[in-house]
Amino acid sequence: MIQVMGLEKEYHGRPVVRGVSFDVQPGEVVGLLGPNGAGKTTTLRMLATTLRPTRGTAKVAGYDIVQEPLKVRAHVGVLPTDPGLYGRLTAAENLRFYGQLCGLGGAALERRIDELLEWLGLAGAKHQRVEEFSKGMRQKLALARAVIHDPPVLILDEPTVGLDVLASRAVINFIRESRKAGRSVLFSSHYLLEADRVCDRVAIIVGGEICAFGTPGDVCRAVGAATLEDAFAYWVERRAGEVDRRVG
Amino acid sequence: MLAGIWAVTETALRMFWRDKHALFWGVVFPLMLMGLIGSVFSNVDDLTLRTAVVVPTPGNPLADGVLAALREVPVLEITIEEEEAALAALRRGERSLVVVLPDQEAVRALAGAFADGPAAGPVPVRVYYDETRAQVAQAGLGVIGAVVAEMNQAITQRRDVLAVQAAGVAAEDVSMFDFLLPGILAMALMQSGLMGVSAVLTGYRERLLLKRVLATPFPPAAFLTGVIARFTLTNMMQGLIILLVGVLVFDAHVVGRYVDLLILMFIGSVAFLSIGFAISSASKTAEAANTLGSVVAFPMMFLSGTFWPRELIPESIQPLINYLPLTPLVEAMRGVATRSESLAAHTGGLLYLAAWAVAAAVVAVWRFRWE
Ligand SMILES: Nc1ncnc2c1ncn2[C@@H]1O[C@H](COP(=O)(O)OP(=O)(O)OP(=O)(O)O)[C@@H](O)[C@H]1O
Ligand SMILES: [Mg+2]
Repeated sequence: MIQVMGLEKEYHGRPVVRGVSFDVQPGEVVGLLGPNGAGKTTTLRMLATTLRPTRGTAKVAGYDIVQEPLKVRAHVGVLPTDPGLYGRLTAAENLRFYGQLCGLGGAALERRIDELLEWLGLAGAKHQRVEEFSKGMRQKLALARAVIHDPPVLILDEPTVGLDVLASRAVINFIRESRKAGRSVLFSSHYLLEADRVCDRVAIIVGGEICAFGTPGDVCRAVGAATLEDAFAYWVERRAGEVDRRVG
Repeated sequence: MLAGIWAVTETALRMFWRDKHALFWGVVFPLMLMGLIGSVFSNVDDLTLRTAVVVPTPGNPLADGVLAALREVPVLEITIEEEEAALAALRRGERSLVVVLPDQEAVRALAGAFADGPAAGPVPVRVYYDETRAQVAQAGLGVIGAVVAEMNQAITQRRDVLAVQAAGVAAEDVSMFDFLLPGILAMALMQSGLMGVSAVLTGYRERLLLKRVLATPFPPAAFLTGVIARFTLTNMMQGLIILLVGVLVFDAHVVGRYVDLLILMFIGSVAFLSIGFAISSASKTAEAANTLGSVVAFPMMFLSGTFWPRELIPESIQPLINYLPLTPLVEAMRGVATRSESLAAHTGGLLYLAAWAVAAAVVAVWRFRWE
């Protein structure tokens, strides 16, 4: 469903993502794990076609992100770092607007809106303006927006950041149920326990490069770590060591 | 696609409607300005009598004598003009009086009469006044009559050499509100174009709302089309409200065709929208857009003849005024509203405004950023 082939991004000549390659199978959940500034958001944005790669490309839902961005957008649901909802519109109006931008409309769209709000526990806030929403409510609404057009692929950037335990659980459930519905999910996270629990496979990215990719168990075994956190620490420290050696 | 564009427009309209600031600055504020300026300055023109003096044959002593005497009167603001131009100005309400001094022939006849005996009638001093302003006319005729009587006294002491011949001319009564309405209308369109567009767009951009649109399969150009449609609609609605309140509440008169005024409103909306887009494209943050917008808007607000005739503005900055894109819009709107002029009479100015719009559109497209 997602096939990343040597994706690279440079900002003003400085490489930020360097030759990243991995894949996400249909109905699979893959976690992109890495320290701050590792290039997670940059990678996800290139896959969501809101950022042009410097080199390399990827296929998402069978379409090339560079050649056919509009096709890709029609088949992927995106949750950005910042939800970017219209505060002066209500929950339903926000969803309706995005639904219309995705080419939906009429009774089918209204039904979909009710269904999604119900599913994410926002039915009571349907006609409430988003500027009055809590962070958790916004995140749920942004998730609903991501799947309004029922895309086969989901790309979520830190979907649980800043949420309380219950809201996080709701988001994790959302990911699990999406998988059950046959969707492929690629998401970034700083919460390794959470990733361990929900991901079929994880990719550890440090300094714009993928250091490890596989099931959480395989990733741990490869470096003799007991937990995903140990494996993560191993790769981050090793990269830091490499940089030290290069500088020193 | 069309349904999508309409969805963008409709949603943007809804947000505009819920934005109390935009409503205030777009509609209430211009009307307040109009009410304020209109009521404060509505009687100012009665203080001095703008008097046009026509001197048919320069260098004749009698006429020069009367002119010198008129110049002595403090309430008269004297300008020497051609008769036709002066009468036209009187009809437009730009002059209070037109005084036509005796010509060479009349003076010669008078001189002949002195020599040959039989008394010729007195030489007429024709005075045109504005019938629609009775008080001004009365005061003006009174002053001129006194001046002429004094002249008679000085010249002969026996019989009247000069006689005032008064003639009323019905001027189109241009009240302060008539004058202000087109100016305020143009200003409001400029304001919501420059400030409104850039505030909304940079706001969208700062809150990453534009970026979200990029993540949907909806074509970005179609999204912008919807946004442009929303601004054109709100600008037209705003203009209509100002026009209605101006006419119904402030009793402003529009003597020209309303259709022409609507066409001008549309042209103005699109032109300043385009400039607003350029400003928001060229600025990084909402604050920067706001500052740049104010820097562009303020000089126009005060210099383009919106609140007062541009003739009142110092000579030294007059050339600058011609270059401001708001000036031709104000002039065309005022021409239509107060003088019933045709749009064709303003082709040059409107083309200049269009050139601005195109240049701004080029900048907007070239520098537009989604985030
Ligand atoms: N627009 C930009 N211009 C220049 N550099 C950028 C830009 N966006 C990101 N970067 C740089 O790219 C690198 C990777 O950023 P990215 O946002 O992808 O990291 P991340 O893994 O998502 O980090 P975080 O966990 O903090 O969200 C960082 O060093 C960042 O400074
Ligand atoms: Mg990030």
